[in-house]
Amino acid sequence: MAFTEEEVKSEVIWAMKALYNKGLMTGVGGNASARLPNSEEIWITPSGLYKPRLTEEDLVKIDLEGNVIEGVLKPSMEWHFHTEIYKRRSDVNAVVHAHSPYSTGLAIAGVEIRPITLEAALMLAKVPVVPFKYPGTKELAEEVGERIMGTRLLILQNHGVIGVGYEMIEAVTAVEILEEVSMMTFIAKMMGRLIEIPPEEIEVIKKLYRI
Amino acid sequence: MPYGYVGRVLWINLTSKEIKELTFDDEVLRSYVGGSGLAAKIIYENVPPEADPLSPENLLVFMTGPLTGTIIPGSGRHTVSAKSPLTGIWGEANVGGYWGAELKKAGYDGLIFEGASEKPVYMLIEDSNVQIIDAGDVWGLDAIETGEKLRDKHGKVRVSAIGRAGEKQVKIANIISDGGRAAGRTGLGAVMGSKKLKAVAVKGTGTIEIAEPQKLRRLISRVLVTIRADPHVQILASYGTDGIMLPMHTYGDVPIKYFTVGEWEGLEKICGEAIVQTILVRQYACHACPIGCGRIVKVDEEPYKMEGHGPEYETAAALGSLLLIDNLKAIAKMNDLCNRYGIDTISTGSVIAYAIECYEKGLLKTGMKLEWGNPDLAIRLIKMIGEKRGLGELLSQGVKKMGEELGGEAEKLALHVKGLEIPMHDPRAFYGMALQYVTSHRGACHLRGLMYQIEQGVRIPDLGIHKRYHRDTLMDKPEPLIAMQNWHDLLDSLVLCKFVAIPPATVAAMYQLATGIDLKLKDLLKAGERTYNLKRLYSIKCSPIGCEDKLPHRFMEEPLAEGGARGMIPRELQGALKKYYELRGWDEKGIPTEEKLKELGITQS
Repeated sequence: MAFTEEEVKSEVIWAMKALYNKGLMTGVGGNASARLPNSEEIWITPSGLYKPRLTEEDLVKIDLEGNVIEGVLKPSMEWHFHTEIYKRRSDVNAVVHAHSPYSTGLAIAGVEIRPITLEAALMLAKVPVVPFKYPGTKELAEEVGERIMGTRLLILQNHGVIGVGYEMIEAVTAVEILEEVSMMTFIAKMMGRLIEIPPEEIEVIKKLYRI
Repeated sequence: MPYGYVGRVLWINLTSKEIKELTFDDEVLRSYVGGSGLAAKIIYENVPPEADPLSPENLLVFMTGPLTGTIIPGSGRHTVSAKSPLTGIWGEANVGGYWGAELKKAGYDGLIFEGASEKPVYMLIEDSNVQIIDAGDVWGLDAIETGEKLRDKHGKVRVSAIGRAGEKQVKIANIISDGGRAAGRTGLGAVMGSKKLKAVAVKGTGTIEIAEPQKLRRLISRVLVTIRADPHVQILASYGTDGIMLPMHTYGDVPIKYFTVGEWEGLEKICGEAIVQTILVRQYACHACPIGCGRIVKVDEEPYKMEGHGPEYETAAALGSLLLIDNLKAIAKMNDLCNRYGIDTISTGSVIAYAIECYEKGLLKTGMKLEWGNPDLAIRLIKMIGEKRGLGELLSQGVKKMGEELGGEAEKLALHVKGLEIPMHDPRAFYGMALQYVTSHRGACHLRGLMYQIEQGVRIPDLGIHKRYHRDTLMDKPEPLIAMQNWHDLLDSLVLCKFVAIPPATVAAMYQLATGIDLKLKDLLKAGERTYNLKRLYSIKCSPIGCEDKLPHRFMEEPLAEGGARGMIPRELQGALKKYYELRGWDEKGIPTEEKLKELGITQS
């Protein structure tokens, strides 16, 4: 958890490296932002730079209207949806966007996540899919804002995924879990079978977890 | 002064306008901690039990705790306490948001209001600049408008205010903070109104000194991951507190038609998931909260047009299922109206439901047609309660007084414990809740014990709750209930949110790192036991009802015919109560013994 501006910046840098090293984005693909709780200013990755090599000095501080407060570089083109999420979710302090291949690929193929693991049955049962809008536009931000309530994950159709969290670890972990389950789904489908957890067991799990 | 506290409490005499600064010595802080625990000591020692709650003799105590306003998760709450005008015994309410943290940053641990102003006033606190200001321009405004107006005048102040109901001393009036967070229960808004205190506006720029800031940060970083992974927390984060509605309904816990029906399809339309899908526009979190169960909702269409704080579970049930209303937009409007008038949604839903039942049975005569499932009628009644007008004057007194006025059979139908309306958990669905309700010091309280969680299998080893408890037994419940009540009274002293799932031993570690006080968990739990007993003792001194530990007839004699609690009745309540008293060190009437009081260091005044 970040308690200072310096820690916030360091978590954004860490997120980019983590997502890249996991193969969830290319060096020029994703972006991330974070803030101190309740702050109306965020630190966001810059546009156009090679993400795994970013340093704290490269980050840009913007307000929730996109005005640059600190930094010399241009903020990520996706700042619209980052700020839209922070406006609607004061419980969210970190946002990441990746191009997770299996998660995005399944959505492109129109394949839904089925209850094949505990995480899939509980956390991923209702991941909203945002219809395609051109990246970096206000229209995309509006669609994201409409669907971000009550979830930690969104899939952007023909584009990628968004993970949010109270802190950066949570946002990154959400994206990782989605990708892991998507990969399992892909493998199972390639092998020709997909055995789901029986519905009655899911009911037991839901009752146990009160979901 | 230990760390964590700022070391100053203001004592404001609204009659003379004199303002004094108080400090508490370390021993008092070790024994009573802060929050409503410290408030209990202040009220016990200064408000005579025979005092009229709406007289200048009563004190109104806003209090934070040693952890309030720090980076500790869930530390955004404060407590309000007084002798209750609704019940005539100990009264307290607990509220989230940012006001408490702001008060600490302004340099005060609490505010004690004594006396009554001749003319309406509000209090402005900007760090050391403390003023009592004429409230002529905000008296008569609703609680939310009052906050907006004071922010227009004074900049970014955090405001706690009463609405018109508090001004009119409606006995179910509450105090609204941060534009929609309610110190809801026991009618404390009426006490504020009786003092002609419209609002307290606070702006603070200071910092709270922590004994071991680096160690505290490291501990919190480790704890946050487990908090957010907790399944209950995930429900709250995803769907707000109303996310529990459907799961709890599987147990028959959600009250329907004033606790007479066990199943109802309408819940699907008013649950947390429905809020997300229909009227939710924003989620928000209180100060230092990793959950964010707060909801901002918007309805565009008349007659329910509104934008503001959305209904929590208790509200969605009290203004929804309790009245057979399944129109979520209407419930959002009703909630907004309650917040604006400043009336408790639990008590409001209850008085309306009770009135409808009495009307249907011919026990209440009125020119209005009272019926179930009619949101427009409910809205009309909310306005009448808020204005204390017509039938609303009767309803504004709470169900106990209503029952006494209506008399006969009607009195038996009034659902309350010690004058406080039953919250939205059916004690027939979880027997531990039956014992919890009757032994709570402020009357039927859903927040001290949370036995419905324990009875669903939650184990808290730090409190000695190791085994699986079932919901349909009672004789094994006194031990875990006492442990939970003491723990929750401690949380109300610290002051921490009960939804943030931090294990008790970790909370104790956080307390030590924040304050530098070397109290172990067992010492802190002893403080919880101390305040629980003190509040009980004060209630008993105020009124014989303070130890009337009984459930209304309905819950003991009328089983539900359907649903998850079908046929269930907590029949062993008397036996469990006897065991509870013994374990508590109370006599056979439920009065703390001299020996117990001596052990806890409580002196009889």
